[in-house]
Amino acid sequence: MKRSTFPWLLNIISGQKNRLMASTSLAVLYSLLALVPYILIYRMIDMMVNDRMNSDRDVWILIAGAITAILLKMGLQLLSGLLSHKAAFQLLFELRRKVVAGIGDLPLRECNKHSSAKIKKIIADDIDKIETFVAHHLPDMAAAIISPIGAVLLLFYFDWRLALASLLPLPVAISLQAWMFKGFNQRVGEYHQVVETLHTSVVDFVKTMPVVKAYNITVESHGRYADAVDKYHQLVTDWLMDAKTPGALFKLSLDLGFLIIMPLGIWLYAHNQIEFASLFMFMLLGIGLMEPLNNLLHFGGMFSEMLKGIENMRIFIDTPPQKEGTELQTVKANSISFSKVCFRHNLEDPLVIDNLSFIAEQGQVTALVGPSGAGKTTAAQLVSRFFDYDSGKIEIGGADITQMPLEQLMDLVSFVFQDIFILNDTLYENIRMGNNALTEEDVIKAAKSACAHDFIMELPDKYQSQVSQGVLSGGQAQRIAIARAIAKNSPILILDEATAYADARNEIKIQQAISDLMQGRTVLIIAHRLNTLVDVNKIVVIDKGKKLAEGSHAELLHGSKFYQSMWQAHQSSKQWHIHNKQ
Amino acid sequence: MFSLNILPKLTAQPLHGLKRTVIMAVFDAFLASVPFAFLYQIILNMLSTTPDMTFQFMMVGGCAVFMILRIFIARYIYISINLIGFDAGRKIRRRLGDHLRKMPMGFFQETDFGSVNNTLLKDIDLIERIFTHIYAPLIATISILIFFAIGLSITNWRLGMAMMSTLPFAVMAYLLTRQYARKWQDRMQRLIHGLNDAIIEYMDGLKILKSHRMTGQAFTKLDDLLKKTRQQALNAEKAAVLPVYSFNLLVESGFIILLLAMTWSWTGGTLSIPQMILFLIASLRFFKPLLSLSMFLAELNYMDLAARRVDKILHLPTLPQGTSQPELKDISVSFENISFGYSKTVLFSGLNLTIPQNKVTALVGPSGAGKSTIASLVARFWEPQKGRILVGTGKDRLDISTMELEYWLHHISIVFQTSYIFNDTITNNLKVAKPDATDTELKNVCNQAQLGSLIADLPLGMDTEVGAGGIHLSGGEMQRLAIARSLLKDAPFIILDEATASLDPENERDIQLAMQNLIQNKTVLVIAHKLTTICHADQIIVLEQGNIAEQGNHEQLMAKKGLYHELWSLQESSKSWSIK
Repeated sequence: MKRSTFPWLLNIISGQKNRLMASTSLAVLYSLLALVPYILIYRMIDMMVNDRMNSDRDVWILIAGAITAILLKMGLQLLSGLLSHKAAFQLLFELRRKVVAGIGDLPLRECNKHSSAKIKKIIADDIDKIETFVAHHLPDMAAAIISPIGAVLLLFYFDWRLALASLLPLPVAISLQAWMFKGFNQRVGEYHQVVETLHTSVVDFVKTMPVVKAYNITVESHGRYADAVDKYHQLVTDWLMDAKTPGALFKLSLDLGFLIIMPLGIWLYAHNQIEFASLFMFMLLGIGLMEPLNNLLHFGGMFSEMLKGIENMRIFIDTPPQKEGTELQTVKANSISFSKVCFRHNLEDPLVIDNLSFIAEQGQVTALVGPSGAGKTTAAQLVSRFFDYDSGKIEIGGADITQMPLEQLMDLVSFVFQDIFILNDTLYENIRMGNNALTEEDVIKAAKSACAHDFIMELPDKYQSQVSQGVLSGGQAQRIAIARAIAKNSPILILDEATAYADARNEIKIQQAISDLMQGRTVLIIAHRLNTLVDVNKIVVIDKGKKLAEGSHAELLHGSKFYQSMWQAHQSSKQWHIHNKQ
Repeated sequence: MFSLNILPKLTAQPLHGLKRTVIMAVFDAFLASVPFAFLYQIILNMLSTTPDMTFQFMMVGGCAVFMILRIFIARYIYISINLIGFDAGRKIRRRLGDHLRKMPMGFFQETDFGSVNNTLLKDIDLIERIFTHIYAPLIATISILIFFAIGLSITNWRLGMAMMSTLPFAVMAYLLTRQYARKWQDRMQRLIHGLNDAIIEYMDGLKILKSHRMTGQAFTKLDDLLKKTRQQALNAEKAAVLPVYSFNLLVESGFIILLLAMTWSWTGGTLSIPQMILFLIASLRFFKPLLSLSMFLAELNYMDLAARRVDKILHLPTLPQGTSQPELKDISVSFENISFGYSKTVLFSGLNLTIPQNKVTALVGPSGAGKSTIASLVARFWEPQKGRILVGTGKDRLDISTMELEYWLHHISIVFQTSYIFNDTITNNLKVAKPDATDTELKNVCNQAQLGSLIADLPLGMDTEVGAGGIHLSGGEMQRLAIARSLLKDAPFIILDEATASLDPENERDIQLAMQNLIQNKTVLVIAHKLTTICHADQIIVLEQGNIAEQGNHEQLMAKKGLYHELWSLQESSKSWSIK
């Protein structure tokens, strides 16, 4: 665990300083107030045993005082809890918002390192643990520390010898605790890891259910899930076995006080060294003195666990957001130029884009082709700055894209990806995509151009129909994505040609929609099917991140052997007929 | 209470040692209570006219013996209760996993992932944690309360009654306010599920959200949910502490009443000083566990809610299945009067069709016509609402739902558009289909699935990890791996989504070859998109909106000039499209 986690947490908490200070002060106050009834009862017993009672009124006054103190204590406790919870929920909200915003600002490369399930765990669960710490543990901890200290001070006032004796269980308890928590940090690390594996395998298990069914994968043979369950079981059992003896001893060490106080107290009393009322106070307060420590121990465990969780989320808040320019750049033309661009995913990995140079001219269609894994999609994603290239330069109309504010870049370029994501929202919002400037007319117009209007109007709620991932057919989703891009109306379009095969009716409509979308724009297309490219202005052939050739279809068919063989493979796959007898 | 016997109910097995642990916990409470009788004797002796130090020391010695005994008992309880809890957690996790596997696919479509995952993870975790933490202390606490109540009432019944006077009210208040708290907890739980789903959506759609500048607060749905959570959390917390707080308030009032009763008896002359002292010391020991009891009850409440969610899933009906495992000589499948629809809509009503053995049957039609649904029904991902699906021919036809599900699925291989690859090694991904496959078999199927050269290039070969944490496979490579898995399974009936091949157009040829190898001499059901690929099929079934529009081979259908003819012509014209 990094040492700096705790200060970081404090820094986060400091936003709610006032409420938390008030809540903690109230906790201190009520734990001191809890001692008042004891003092009053001591006075009462003292008077009774020594026959110093003047009248019954004295007793009633003392008791009335004790009852008032109890009621006041309960009131303060409630107030303290209310304040700490208010602070906690505000903190949770701010933290979650920060993480969500942080994820959005990170380069995509960073986000891709984490599974959705893991991030869900961080935002929902790990941050939730901070609530327990701030709302419960902070005031409780103050109370757990203050009440034994107050009690000990009080006992020292009555008799220093017995007070010292009643402190004896403390070192015993502490050493037992140290024994119990031997290797705790490492264990917590392991624990988090195992829990994360369990999380991932559960998500996997549910997601892969179709294949689980098709292959009769029983829980036993669905290795990862069963393994994760067993591993988790093993870890907690091992942990338990290591802690069993100190754990049991620790619980009883809290009662040890009795065995120490009583013999000494009896001796002192028999030798007239102590008043009965004082001894009574030790029986009352001295024995359970260490019990709040039990809580502290509990806090200790929860606290380490929480810090581990915080460690997970820090990356998203502390990693600096993707660098972007602050000033609008002058864009002279809507063209994209790659000059000697190199990119690799990680330092140790080979280059994915290797010295790539080409120009996509304004108003023209430029296609990237190559075998799968050649780097076509990555090259296109470099323009959108989902990834930042390592060297070289990408310019739009002469302006370096890294010098632009991201806002400007996103206004200039729109994208249609291959993996279309449909938001869990209305179709209307799915086309508008948060752009409040678009009117209803704009949205409908875009849907019409994208050949989506007709199928939308057939739905019961039309544009207000709620959709989500998987509700629309592939072809429909594609047309929604195209409508999005049309509505966005950027001068430059980056289009990943869809690979999913829509049915014949859809296919024609998608083709129409794409033709409409490309009108008057600079288009960079990531192409997968060569037969659609016979008329484009320029084809750039890429393999292993390198440019092999560029030119029109006719030029490449004569000039590039690589392109020729791709063309032939494509032609033969079109001739495929399914038959089950050779 | 539901919670106390919930574990055996959820594991569906008795928990060994639970009874013994309970008895030990009661015994432990007894051992913890007795020293107070000794203490009373010490106080009586001290305040008497003839105090005797030796007697007092003997009494302390008695307490020490009890305490040493308790060390061993505490250790025993600590171990056994945790072991029982952990073991139960593991059993519930496995049982739930096994149960989920038997659910129809419909369950996974109608229930959101978030809530299933939450139950598998958080709810079981909660049950395990709360059980191990509070079960034994809860029993000990209740027993101590009973022993104390008895002991103190024997000493002075009036004070004993006073001390316990508020207890029934406290329990009543707790039970009354709990309903209210539960309502809020449920509301909060739903909110959190919504939040979880929104986070997953945010992560999965990050790319498109970024390009539309919809990240952070601009993704209003998530931001609104965060705001709502903040706002509701305080209310939910208030509701949640209400039972605990009202319980505690009434319990502490019991202490106040005891103080008043003591003063009353003292001034009335019916209470001795030793008795008063005993009650003061003992009441501290009496009320403290009572206060923690309310915490236990609150936790128990959480456990109860979690257990109900687990129990609910465990009680959802699984796909009906028989037990028979007849030998299937003929794998022809026929639909007899099948009616089926997803949730409310009707897709098929009275559908009849036959998929003959060793022939290629192709399903074509616009999207939404029901092609994939027919395949899913054959694979029993869903249960038809009416009608029967039969296997075999003539008199030997058998309803597939009378067979054991696993046995039936053993005869079928499916090539999906989405290939489901586990984050594991290539070998393990394949062995799912046949755990005892030999290396030669594995190598063979990989070659047939056109994966040979890919694997040869990997330093670890077949032991290479794929997916998250391993090497990245392209879409086409994953599909070929899935096909290799089907090849290994060697089932007689193949369900094939032809579009799978076009998903990786650059490698379309390789996938086509792999598929070709898979379907040799099998009964094949193809979900077809490109009509050219299936024009040699033995039987083509043309579907439109759940009805069979036409049926026959390519030549017959073309001659009809119906829907098939229209789709064919549309495809021919879209083929000539080019980007300009």
